[in-house]
Amino acid sequence: MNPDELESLVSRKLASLPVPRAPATLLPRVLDEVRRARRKPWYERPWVAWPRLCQAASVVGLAALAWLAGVAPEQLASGEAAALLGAVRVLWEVFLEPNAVYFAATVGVMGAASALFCAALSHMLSERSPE
Amino acid sequence: MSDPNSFEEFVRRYQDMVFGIAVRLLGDPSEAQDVSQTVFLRAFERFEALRSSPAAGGWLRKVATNLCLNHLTRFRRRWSLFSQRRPLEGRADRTYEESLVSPGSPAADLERAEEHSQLERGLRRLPAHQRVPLVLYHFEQRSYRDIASVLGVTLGKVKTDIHRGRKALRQLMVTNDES
Repeated sequence: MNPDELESLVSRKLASLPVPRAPATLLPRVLDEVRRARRKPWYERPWVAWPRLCQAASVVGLAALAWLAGVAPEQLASGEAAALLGAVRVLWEVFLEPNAVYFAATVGVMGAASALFCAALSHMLSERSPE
Repeated sequence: MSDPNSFEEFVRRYQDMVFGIAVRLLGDPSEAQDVSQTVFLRAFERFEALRSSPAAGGWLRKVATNLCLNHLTRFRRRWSLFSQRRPLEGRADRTYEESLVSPGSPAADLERAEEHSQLERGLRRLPAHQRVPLVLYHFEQRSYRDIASVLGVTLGKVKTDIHRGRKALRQLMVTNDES
């Protein structure tokens, strides 16, 4: 039998094979894993499964970081660092230093409120979505 | 968040296809089940987009193939050590083989099912370096060049391995016909 005949015979025989049936245990296994995955908080899931808002925020954050990484060394190199540092010092002495304690407390409270809001939101979502 | 009932329906619809690709490429039903599970978990992460997409089947086929090839590459050392073993000696394999033959079939169907079972078994008995390109060529309709590129081997090796795999399957068919 030449190679072409062999290829044709094997192709015919393999094409006649039915699709193997998945074992009965596969579906329950997948559904169990899916239930487990749904119980994870959003930040432990892969990025593609994050809520749209968090995905957008992460993209904005990354873009800001990339922009900073590109701009900051340029500013430092062009001698604008002193002006930048002066502005930061004035900002610190006039606005931040006198109110540092209140500022820190405000940031802390806002952070806690955000965390509470996120936890409540994710709890609500997990309750609303049926298992 | 995805509706779990519609995801269950989605898994039911595609589980045979995904498992079929995995079991033929990996030659091991229990590893195929692990890979199939991973494929569906990835699908779940993108279920909002996949549920209404006409390309869902193609996406699953591609992910299943890639995960199987990754699996084989990752465990290449173990794979080469055990590629000569006879998978049917395992209990899980027997169960899988038995599932291909329906005991209530009429005689002709039973005979055909037995032939299919023998062929599947023969396919999975092939060493992985012959089975994988053979499955990619005959079941996934990949070209020789594409297979060589995916497996990172030469075109000549792909052709030789596929030819040897075909000869081994042919030998099995002849033996079956004689018996």
